[in-house]
Amino acid sequence: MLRCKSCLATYDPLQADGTTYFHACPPLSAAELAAKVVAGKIVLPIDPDTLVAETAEKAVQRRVYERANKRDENLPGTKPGDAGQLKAAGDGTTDLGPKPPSVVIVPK
Amino acid sequence: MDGTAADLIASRAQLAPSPWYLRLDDNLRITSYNSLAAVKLTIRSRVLTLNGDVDVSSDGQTPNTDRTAKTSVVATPEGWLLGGQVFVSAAAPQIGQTFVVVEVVRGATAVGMATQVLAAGYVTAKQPLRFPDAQIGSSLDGAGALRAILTSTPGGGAEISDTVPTGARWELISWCAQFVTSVTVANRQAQLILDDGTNILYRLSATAAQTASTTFRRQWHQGASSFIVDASNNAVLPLPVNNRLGPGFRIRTLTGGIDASDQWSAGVMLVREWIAGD
Repeated sequence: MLRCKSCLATYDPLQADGTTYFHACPPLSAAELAAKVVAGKIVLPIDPDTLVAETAEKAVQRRVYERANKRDENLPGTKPGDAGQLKAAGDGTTDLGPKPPSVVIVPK
Repeated sequence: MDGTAADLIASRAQLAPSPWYLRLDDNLRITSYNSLAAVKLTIRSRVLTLNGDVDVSSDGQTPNTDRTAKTSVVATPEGWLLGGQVFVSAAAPQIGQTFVVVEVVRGATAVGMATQVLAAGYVTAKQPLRFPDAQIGSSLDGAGALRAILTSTPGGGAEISDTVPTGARWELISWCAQFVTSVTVANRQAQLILDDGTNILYRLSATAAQTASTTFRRQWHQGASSFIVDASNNAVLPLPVNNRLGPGFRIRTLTGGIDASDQWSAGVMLVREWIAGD
């Protein structure tokens, strides 16, 4: 299991069926965007309906807010030289060790 | 053209047991696009050589597992290509997972000049690809590989988002995840969005909100008729029937009223998958 240092998601890079899972960080949620506004990282535009700054709730409904350190493990293409490449490494990952089994056999 | 060359061609044409005459510097190039681990391919061919022998070759290729192209060249003697096949010799890919192209190339390297496609199609544990007289298939042909995919578990207060991998095309059949709300009082409105990375193509939310300190299992399915919540808080909504999502398209949640301590579980998607043709 890996933890993405950019968005704190956890995931298994190898699916149970033997295929590779390519993690990509999600856009900011309303809660995450609101925290960025409070931290002064971004100023939301004036809401034409209310003539005051948009709320984070409205902002994420109207446009997508991506992380500056977004990780995207998808490949840039399918040419031979694209194997093993990432679209964006972000802040990297932390190895959490083996994934707990999803099916456990209980002894008789 | 001098008489000797013309005579030679005429005699070859009369005797030709197949239309696929290979010069000494003509070879076979095998290109695979694969998504499954541990797949191995075996390539066998028969060539009638100029001295009348039937030369049989057997070569292998281990495809990449990330849908990138893997190429290898099978050296062939001069003569007439009688036939051959590519088959799976390890693992058990489904239709939609291991696509193979067989070509004649001039030269002995993978970057040699391709002069003719002999075959293109999926191979599985039960289905080899024959050449040279096979129908040329598209990577979007067939029923696709039926796959259950476990998504990332997002951090607290974050959304779920998955991107259709590079080199893949998906049909999203169903999507489900559990959403647990914190004690913070607010009405949460979970939506599922399909977009192409920029433009929203589909967006549907439940008509009833989820309140504080509750656990709902949110499910979107093809064939669901309308919003339903049962006594166990299983909330079901429809997905577009027969949808197709290309590389870079996203499947993501957008949750109105989400609190920093709310928690989505990992999602489980049922998809049909093909190797993308682009």
